[in-house]
Amino acid sequence: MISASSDKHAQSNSPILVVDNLHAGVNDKTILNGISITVNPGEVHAIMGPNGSGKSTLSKILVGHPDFEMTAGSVTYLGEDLSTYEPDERALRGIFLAFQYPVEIPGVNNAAFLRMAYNAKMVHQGKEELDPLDFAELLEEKAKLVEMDADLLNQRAVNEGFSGGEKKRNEILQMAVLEPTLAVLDETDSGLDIDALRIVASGVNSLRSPNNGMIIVTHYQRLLNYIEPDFVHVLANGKIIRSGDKVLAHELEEKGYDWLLNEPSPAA
Amino acid sequence: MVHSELPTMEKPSVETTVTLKDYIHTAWQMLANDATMPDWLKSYRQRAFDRYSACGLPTPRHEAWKNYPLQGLMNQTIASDFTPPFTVKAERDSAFIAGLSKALEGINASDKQAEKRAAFKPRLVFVNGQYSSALSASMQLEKNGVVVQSCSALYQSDPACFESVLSSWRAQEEKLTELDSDLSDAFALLTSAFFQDGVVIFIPDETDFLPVIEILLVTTPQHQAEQPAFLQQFIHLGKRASASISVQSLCLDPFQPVESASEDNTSNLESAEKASMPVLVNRQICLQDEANLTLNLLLNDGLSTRQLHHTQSFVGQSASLNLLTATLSGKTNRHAIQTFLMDTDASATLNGLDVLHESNKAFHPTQTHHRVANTTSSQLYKSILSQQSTSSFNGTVLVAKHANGTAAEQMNNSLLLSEQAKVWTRPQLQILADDVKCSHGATVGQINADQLFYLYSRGFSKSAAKNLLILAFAADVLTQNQPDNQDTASLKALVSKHIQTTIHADHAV
Repeated sequence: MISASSDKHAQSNSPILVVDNLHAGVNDKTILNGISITVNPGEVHAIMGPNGSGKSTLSKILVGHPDFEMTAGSVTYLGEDLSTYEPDERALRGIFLAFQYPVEIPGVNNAAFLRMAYNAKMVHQGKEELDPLDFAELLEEKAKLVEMDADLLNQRAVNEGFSGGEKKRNEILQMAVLEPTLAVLDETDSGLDIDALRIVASGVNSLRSPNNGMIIVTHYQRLLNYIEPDFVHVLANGKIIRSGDKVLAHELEEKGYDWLLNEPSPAA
Repeated sequence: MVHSELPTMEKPSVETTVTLKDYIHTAWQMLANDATMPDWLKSYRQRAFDRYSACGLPTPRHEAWKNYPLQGLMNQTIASDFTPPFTVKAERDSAFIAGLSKALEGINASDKQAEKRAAFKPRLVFVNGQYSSALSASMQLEKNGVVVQSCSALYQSDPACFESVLSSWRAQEEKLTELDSDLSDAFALLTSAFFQDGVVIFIPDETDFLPVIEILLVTTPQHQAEQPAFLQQFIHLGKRASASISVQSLCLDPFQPVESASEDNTSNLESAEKASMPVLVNRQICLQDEANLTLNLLLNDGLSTRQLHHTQSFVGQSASLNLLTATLSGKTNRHAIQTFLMDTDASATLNGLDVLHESNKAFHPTQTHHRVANTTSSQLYKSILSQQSTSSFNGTVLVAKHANGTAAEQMNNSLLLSEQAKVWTRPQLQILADDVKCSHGATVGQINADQLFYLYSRGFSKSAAKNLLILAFAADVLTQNQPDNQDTASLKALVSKHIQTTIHADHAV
């Protein structure tokens, strides 16, 4: 059993996330064939790879999507076996996924939704809930990070009728409000124009801290120009075929994934 | 202890029981032979009864009665005596009234501000089909001619006013040429012929009547009626007049603490296993030019009741009718709506929301007649069905020849939360004009798994996520076209609570 105080200890010294030899798939089809990653506090890891390499599967496994199944290996989050926790418990414990395709929820006001999510976390942490007025203040502050219009917050339903860029900004806004310990950004750059990319990236950068960790899943090196990763992992056919620092991302951009796929993988 | 002080139930003077058909026959004999009835009232009743005789009781083959459990209604045994119209029975003992009055305090409890704005809030209360003046706050203002009264009271105090309301209705009806059996609802006609009481709401020209007029149809579990109740609601808005009306059927136990006699009526009627007598309500709405009426009908009186509501409206030039039917409980509820858009720019918004559980059923046959050019109608019916509940939407939009420029939309969305829940949906258009914009559609589905997971991933528990999505599904019906008043707010709160306590608790989706 890990008490609240040792939780804190874990956050400051030990890894946030340890993925060890993870095998996983969907509908009996294996997609991940033994992945190992360790995310320490303050680190940003980028996961790159061609289509179908298993990048999204990794993010889905981390948040516990019911369609995806872990078949071997382990995922340890703050010293605990993650697989025992339901998706909502994982969220309450500080894991956040910025969706590749954020879901529209007509009929649920965006600001009210954010407040409910925020308060669920407060209750989980034994803190006091914020009333709508106090929360509106907090939200206004956070919304500045991603240059979000008040209209999108207060007058609109969650993601309903949002443009691609607005949806992604809304994801980062949620991340800002929920202050996760581990944030997983699943292709947050896809469908963004340059301005939106800059806004989203600066939002993410402002949320980097020595206490949290991030995993950024992306196709392109472009996003990594704005958010500098500490580590870059290249995923292909469900395995990490190369790990390195940000230089690796630049090399990939230059030479393409074929460069790595066609050469025998060096020992990690 | 309290129960021992209950007055004994009035036993029917004649101990025989009959079926509905025979009941109608004997009741009419009695009414027709009533020498005290003035001619204007007699002719109103006679006209309705003649039209009923022409069409007869419905059968399952009638389009408007498809899937409705008519058998139970026809075979019900009824105590044969018919309570004469406008009979003012002695009210029950004071403990009963006091109990109900206390229970009613919790209904639509308004916030202080709203209360201040509307210093006087008219409320007409019917308990088990009988008007209760002790629980009501009626009004008849000499000064500006506003009338909000029970039929019985108005019949006593100002029969001339009553007569004029009936004759203006008659004038509207005569504008229609096709009052044939196709357009007739037998139970609505029977209600007009037999109505024993009801309400008259008359808002004169140029009058904005601000307070929400409340009409409460209360059932108490201890006093099951032995005959059907026939209630008529006459609603007349003059030129450029406006009003908001809230009609609510509910079940209250005067001998229970208020907290437990709350919105969740499920428990109240569990003991009353036998099918209770039908309550028939016929609502005749006349909106003169540029009048504006909002009427919310909330059917929520427990599990064993059978209510048959019928709303027939004439909508004048640039007048607008805004009807919302919300059904939360009741064994078999039916609200038939027949709307005649009589003049240019008349518009009608008919919305419906069913949130049902157990084996509750709700039926919504609607007929919307676009009779002249440039009229608008919009229908949005949604149902949220758990357990073995059933909902039926059978809507027809009829666009008359030459009614060009008609804009009509019709949508029925259903959310099925269990494998036993059932929905019938028939959005129909009958268009005889060329230049119109009409749409109709229906969807039937379940809670969206992607939306659920999105909420889980933000820390919403399974039940919180489901509640939120169910409520979100209902949201637009409760917000579209609804005035921003206390009635709307309390309806929203009630639906939300119902979803949380009854629908969700009952059924693990």
